Amino acid sequence: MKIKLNGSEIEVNDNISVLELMKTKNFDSTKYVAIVNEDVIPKSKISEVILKEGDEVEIITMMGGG
Amino acid sequence: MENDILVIGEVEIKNRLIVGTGKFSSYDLIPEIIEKAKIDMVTVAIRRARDGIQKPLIDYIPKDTKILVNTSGARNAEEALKIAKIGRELTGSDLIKIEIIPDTKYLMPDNREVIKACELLANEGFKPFPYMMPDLVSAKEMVKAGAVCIMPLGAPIGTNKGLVAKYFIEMLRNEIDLPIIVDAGIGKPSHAAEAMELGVDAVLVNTAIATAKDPVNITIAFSKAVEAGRLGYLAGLPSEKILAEASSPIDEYLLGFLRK
Repeated sequence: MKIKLNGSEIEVNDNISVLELMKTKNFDSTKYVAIVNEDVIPKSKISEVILKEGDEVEIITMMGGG
Repeated sequence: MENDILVIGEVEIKNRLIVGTGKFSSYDLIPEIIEKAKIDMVTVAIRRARDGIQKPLIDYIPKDTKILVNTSGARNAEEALKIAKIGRELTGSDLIKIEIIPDTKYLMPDNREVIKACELLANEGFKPFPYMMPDLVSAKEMVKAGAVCIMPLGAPIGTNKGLVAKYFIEMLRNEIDLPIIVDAGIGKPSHAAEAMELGVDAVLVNTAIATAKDPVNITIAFSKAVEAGRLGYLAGLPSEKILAEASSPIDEYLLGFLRK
């Protein structure tokens, strides 16, 4: 199925969880936060949230700031 | 000085110099600065991750350092709340620096939206650190809305102009019963000492450190200036006078001896 990851369309396995998606893309789930269709996914729930066709996922991290 | 510990939102901040992590030529400088200047709290922003391969900023921040996420990018209170929720997931901390800046030329914070954000975020369990234009009426509203400290600007972000807003910051110091952190505009160590001598509780420096020729040593200099300013304030600064006053008044004997 197709989803959007950080604005780009990608192909992923059906019923993939947010945690699996992060692992596939090398995002350490302790250092990044996932947002699915504008919902911030708590770290405790990332293995339970299953993605579906057309979902928009954003992976967020810290960057330098004042 | 030993018992002079700063506590904001139930968190102890051991060094009154808080350092921003923006604008560094390399993240490699950050752990060195934190270690050598004994920095206890840093600020960070959040953004979309480029990929999972590049080492993220969090890997450069020593584990026991307190991380204060800012809401930069927010133009109103609702956007600040969205960023705060992401920040809390990243750090596991309720501390959040509210930064709401609709103006791109002078980067002026929108006090009205910051007041709204303090209330919105405090209701969601956050401990707001509001970055604000030093204005006593707004600061009082922020206190009422649940802020845990007040962060007035010294001068606009990145200008290195020092305490342009000094008189208004003094007003906050005299009237606000919460910690005050001077944020933005601090361009050199003497500015930081000057702020601390006013009796504010901490200063936040980013641009002046990140863009210095030697960021590590300037952080140490800032840290010493903050400590000196704090000690000076606690010791009690003398008042200024218009007329001169001799340090060693001449006694009558000497006067007679000289004028004979």
